[in-house]
Amino acid sequence: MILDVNDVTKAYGGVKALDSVSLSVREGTIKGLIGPNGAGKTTLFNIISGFERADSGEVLFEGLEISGMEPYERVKFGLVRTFQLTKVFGNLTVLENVMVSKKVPNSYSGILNEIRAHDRELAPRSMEFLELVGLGGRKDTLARDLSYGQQKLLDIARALATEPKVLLLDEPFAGVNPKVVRNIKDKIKEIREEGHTILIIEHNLSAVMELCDSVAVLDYGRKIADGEPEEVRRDRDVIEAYLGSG
Amino acid sequence: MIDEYVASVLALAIITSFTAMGLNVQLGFTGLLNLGIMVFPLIAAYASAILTTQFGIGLLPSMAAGIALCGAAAYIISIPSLKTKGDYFAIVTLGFGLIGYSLALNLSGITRGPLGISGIPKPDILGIQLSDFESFFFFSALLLLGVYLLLDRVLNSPFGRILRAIREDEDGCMALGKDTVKYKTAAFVLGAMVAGMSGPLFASYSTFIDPSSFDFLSSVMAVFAVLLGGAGNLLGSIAGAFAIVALPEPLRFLDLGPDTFAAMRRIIFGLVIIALIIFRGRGLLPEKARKSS
Repeated sequence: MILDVNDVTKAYGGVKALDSVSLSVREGTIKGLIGPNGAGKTTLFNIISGFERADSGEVLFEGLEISGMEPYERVKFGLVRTFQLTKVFGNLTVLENVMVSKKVPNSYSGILNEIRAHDRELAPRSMEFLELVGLGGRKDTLARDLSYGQQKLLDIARALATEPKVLLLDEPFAGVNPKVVRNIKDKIKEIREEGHTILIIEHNLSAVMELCDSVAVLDYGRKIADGEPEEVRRDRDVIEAYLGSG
Repeated sequence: MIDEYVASVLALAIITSFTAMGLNVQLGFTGLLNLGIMVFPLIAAYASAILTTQFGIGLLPSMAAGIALCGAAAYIISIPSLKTKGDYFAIVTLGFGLIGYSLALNLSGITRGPLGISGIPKPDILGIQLSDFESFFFFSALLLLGVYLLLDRVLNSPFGRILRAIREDEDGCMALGKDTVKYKTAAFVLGAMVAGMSGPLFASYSTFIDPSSFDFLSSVMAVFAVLLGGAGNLLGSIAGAFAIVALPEPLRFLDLGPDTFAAMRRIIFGLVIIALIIFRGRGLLPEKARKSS
């Protein structure tokens, strides 16, 4: 397993957002994480990516405990995320957005070396990632002028440009029109073909069922099912969580 | 030959440009709203004033020492300040600005408190004393050009790109593997040192300093210069500094008493700020998109 979440618990005040949740992602697969609103999906994502800390439990990446690491350190190991509401750099051009992903040592000498660095090799490499998501023609557009769906694609391109092993996608289809959903779905499949592992939070059940090799279901902070999409689709608890018990 | 009055206004505008450019590195490029920027010119100004008047050290080496001290102070101030973000950061820096002002006012043994320090010499270059405003103007203009070219290079580098990315979305930048606090620290120290340069220059320009030149209002004026000129545009900071220095000058030709002059000056700034934000929110010289070549 390339990513393991063991017994993670997180409470806000008295409310348990996550209650002993465990989850594993096999290398080279796409895993889906679904559940009703407020089930704890984004909290789990934040804990895996380091933007929040769990109260207890651990996160292992390639067997290495990363629970205490800062988000930027996890990126260095190859674990990168996107956000539900994209965090593109609005007043930077589309190409500049991807160029930010360049790997730079996070020491002062590494940072200050970037003053003398140049973009001769970085620019064409960054363009490749833009071409991959079909935004090559928009490279000089300010990111804030992209449509919402295009911003989601840019977010994915930036994440890929950090050369991750595992990509965490937070609702990549939310608020995107159906044509672009098709497009993003195809890109995600391509990314998997290239050997990346993907963990994806999504509300769009049909997209999840089509894309994912396995699916875990969260409800009120507990994992209520985990398995192949067909299995999960027939699971009684899952049906109840989604449709309510009659 | 430039008229001495014109030269004195231009020189003051150039001195103010250093403050505005330094603050722009923090505010315009990195998104750090520093409301106490004048603490850095204050430190450098007092350091160089004391070194020149009490130890007889030349202005240029004193200035260098003052700016180095500024960098060290900025690093120390950045540690608690950068634990906060956004509005909270602004309030913390405001606090440091007030502390600096109060120390200058009350540590009379070192700063002579409200009496101020007088007799600060003019720059001395290769034995030539730049005693008139005209030569002072050319000297500071040359220095400004050098600092501008250096900063322009730094801010248009890949390092500068990360600063702008942090300004746009810090979490987004961290999610792409950047230790954003280190970048912000670097930008804060760099901006503080550039802003700090205005201190010794001003001290030498007016041959006298007291704490009132470094109060909260002057920090707010620096923010105004950056916004008026265009946040994220380095030339804009120079334009903004010239504008805030030159704007009230016509008032001098009216026969106003000093109190009326000061009040009119503030009213004019107030009106210009309001008009600016409503009609030209991105400043006189807005930041340009950096297209790939």
